[in-house]
Amino acid sequence: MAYNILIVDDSLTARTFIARTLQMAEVPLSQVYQARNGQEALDLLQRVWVDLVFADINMPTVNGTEMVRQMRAMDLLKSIPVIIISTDRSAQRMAEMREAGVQAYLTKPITPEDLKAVVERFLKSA
Amino acid sequence: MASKRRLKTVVVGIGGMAISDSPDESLVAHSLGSCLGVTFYDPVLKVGGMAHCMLPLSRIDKEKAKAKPGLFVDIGVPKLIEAMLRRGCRKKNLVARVAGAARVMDRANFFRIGERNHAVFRKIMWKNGLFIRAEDIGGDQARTLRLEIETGRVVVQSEGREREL
Amino acid sequence: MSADNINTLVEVAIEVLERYAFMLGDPPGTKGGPAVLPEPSWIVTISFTGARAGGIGVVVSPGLARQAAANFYEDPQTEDGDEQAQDAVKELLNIVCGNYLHRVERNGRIVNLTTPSLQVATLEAATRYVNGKPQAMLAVEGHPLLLFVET
Repeated sequence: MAYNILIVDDSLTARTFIARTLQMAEVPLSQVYQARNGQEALDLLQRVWVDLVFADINMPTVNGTEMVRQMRAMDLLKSIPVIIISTDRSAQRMAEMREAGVQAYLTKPITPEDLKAVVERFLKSA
Repeated sequence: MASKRRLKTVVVGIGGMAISDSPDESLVAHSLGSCLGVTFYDPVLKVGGMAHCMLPLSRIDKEKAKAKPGLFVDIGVPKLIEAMLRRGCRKKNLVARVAGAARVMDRANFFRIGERNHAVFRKIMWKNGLFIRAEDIGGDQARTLRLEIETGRVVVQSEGREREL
Repeated sequence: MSADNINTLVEVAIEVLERYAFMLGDPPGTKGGPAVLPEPSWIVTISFTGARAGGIGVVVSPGLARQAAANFYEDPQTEDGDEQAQDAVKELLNIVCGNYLHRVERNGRIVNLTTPSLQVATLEAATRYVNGKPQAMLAVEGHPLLLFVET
C-alpha cells in the first residue's frame, strides 16, 4: 500500500523539509501534494484523496485552524488525520486545535526523527 | 541476551576513528564530555565504525584538520561514513547512534561546544539523508560509549549507570 | 522592550539557527565577527497581536540566507533567483518568533503572528530602519546577523 500525503504550509522551506523527510523515511508514497494555504488545500481535497495531512497554522487566506474546521464539517474529509506543525507553542492554541479535531501537534523546529516517528504512528494505524 | 565472553576492546581516543568487522571486538570511546561519540553500524555486513570528535568545525585549525580529521565533526564524520561505504556498507543500512555533547567544564555554557558538535553532526546526517537512530546528548555528565561489533549493541555508561542506546 | 528581551531573542536565535539551519552563531562581543550591516541588506520582519503585541526582525546578508538554503535543500538553487534563500530566512524568523514568544509570554495565551515579510535594502536604508531599536549583532559563520525588536 502506498500513501497519498498533503503538505500545507506557506513556506517552501517547511514543505521541502517534510517532503524530504518522508522520502528519507522510506514511507511508501504514491503522491505527495503541496498547498501554500488552507484554501489551496481545501480545493485540492475536492479532487484527490489523501491518507494524511501535514498543516501549518499561520498561513494567508484560510489558516490551519479554519482549514481543519472546514474539513471536519465535510463527510468525505472528516476522517483524514491532520498533523499540525507550527511555530506556535501556546497552550491555548494547542487546546484550540485539539478541539478543532487534529490528531497531533508538533512545534517547529522539529527534527527529521520527530517527524518520522509521527508518520510511522499514523500510517501504521491508517 | 548479550554474549558472556570477553570482547577485545579497541579504544577510540580523542580525534580517533575506527572500523571493525571482528565479532570479538568492541569499539569504545572513554570520557566523552563536550566531545561527540558517533557510531555507525551496518547490520547486514556486521561492520561497525566509531569516531570521537572534539570540535565542530575544522576551519579553525587547518593543519590539525589535515593531520587528524577525526578531531572535527564536519570532516571526521563524513570520513567515517566514506570509510564504511568503502568497506562495502550501503548508506541506507547504516544505523547511527551518538552520545556526548555535554556541558562539562563549561557550566555557564559560554562556548556551547557540545551543542555545536551536535548541530554539525545533524547537518551531516541531513545532507546524507540519514536518520539518527538513538542519542544520549547534553547534560553535564561525562559518558563512555561502546559498540559491540557482533551484535551492533551500543551501550552508554555514565555516573555508574549503563544503558543501551 | 527591555535589554532582557533582546538577550532572550539572542539566545533563542542561536538555538534555532543550530537546530533548524545547522548554523553556528556567536553572541555579540565574543568573536570579533563582522560588526557592520551587509550591503545589500535583507530586512525580514514579523509582527504579532493578541496576548502580546509587537514585532521582531532580522537584517541579514544574502550570503547568510544562501548558506542556510544550501544547508537545507538537497538541490540548492544556483542561479534562478533567491526564492529558496529568501524563504529559508523568512521561515527562520517565523520559528525564532514563535520560540521567543513562548519564552516571554509564559502563561500560554494565544499570540497571532503575521507571515514574515522581506525587503531588500541598501546598507544605508537598513541602518536607518533599525536606528533607535533595541538590537544585537551576531556573527553566524562569518556572516553578520542583526536581531532587533520593533518599538
